[in-house]
Amino acid sequence: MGGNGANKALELLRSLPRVTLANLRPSEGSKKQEKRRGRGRYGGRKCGRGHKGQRQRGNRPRLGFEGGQTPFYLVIPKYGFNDGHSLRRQYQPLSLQRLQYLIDLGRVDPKLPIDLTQLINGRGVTVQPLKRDYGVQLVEEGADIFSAKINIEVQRASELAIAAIEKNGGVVTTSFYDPRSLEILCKPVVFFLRGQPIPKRMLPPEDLVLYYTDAKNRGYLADPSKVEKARLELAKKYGYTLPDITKDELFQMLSTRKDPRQIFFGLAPGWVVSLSDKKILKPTDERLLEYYSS
Amino acid sequence: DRLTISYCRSSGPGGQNVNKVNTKAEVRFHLASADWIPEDVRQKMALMHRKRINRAGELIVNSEESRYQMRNLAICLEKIRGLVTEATERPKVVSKETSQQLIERVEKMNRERLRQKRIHSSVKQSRKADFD
Repeated sequence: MGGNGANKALELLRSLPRVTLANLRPSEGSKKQEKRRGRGRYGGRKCGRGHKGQRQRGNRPRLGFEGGQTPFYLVIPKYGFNDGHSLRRQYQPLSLQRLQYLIDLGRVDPKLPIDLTQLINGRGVTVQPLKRDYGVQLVEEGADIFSAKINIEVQRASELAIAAIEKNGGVVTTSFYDPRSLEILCKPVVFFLRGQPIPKRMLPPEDLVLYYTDAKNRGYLADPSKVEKARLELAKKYGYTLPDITKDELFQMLSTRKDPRQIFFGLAPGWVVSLSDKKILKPTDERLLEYYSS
Repeated sequence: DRLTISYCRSSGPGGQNVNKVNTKAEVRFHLASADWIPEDVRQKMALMHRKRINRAGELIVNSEESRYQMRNLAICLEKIRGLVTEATERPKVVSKETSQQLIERVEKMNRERLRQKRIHSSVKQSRKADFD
């Protein structure tokens, strides 16, 4: 049936006249005629301004003015809902449904460890480090439908999301990226064009240290044995048998983790990547090596 | 593994989503043959939760509180754990000595209260200026 349609289309292409400006027309409802004032019986006369008064003469008071009565926006007292909103950390949400969608369409490869760079390359999320975004958080929407074995690294993850990923035999880690490293991670090519050495990733601030050293959140600074225990506990809580990843064929890929000071997989801090020469330059000075490996 | 888990559609408003998505989790297990619960606890549970047991002798627990199947399952399991712990708890045995101590304490409290009341009353009386 599809073949018939294709043949028919090709026949049409052969027989119909050439596409020119005379043969084209915009789709129905896409172009709406704009309102032109001061023309004809309907657009002219009062020109949509009403009859006399401030309205017609263009002298209406500002928005919110209530004729002298204290306006609503001044009657209500201020309260600190938005205090320090520009200093609050924001995390772009990534639902499991969207992640499954991306994997199904092939925009994100589940055979490699999934990083923020991979997600951005697959246009899965848009992160703006300049708008106080500190990364990506995993959200539970689609937890029932999720069925992909992946090694994913995000900045925050909720319990149900971790459970859903581990149920399918995957691995979740939460790690911290300070704003400079985040910018580099989101736009690596732009950074490499600058010609600067890759900086080392900073450790989390005081309020986040507790979060990232907790095994329940699968933090990157947490004890691996505690993480194992937490996996078992979660399996008991949500009632699924924890699949053994050591017996998996992709075990090596699933267990690859980044060093706390590393930004990219396979690139260490201090190296300079030059895209034009297609070379990586590594530092040889002792002091530099000491600094970058601290 | 020894629990029969089934999912079905929840009740309540929600339009197309509630109609299509299986989110109500129901867990049932045969109470009499559940060897992971001790015998006396099993009997106690049969007495306490008569309403949850059907004619075939299965204890049924269901949950449709959350939007996610997994969470509803977790809630079901938590409920079952709660039922078992409730049935396991023994009545508190108060030994004779401590019960006597408790009675003594209560009496002491009452005596102290009445003494304070008398003192307060005398204070108020002393403030009265009664000119005969």
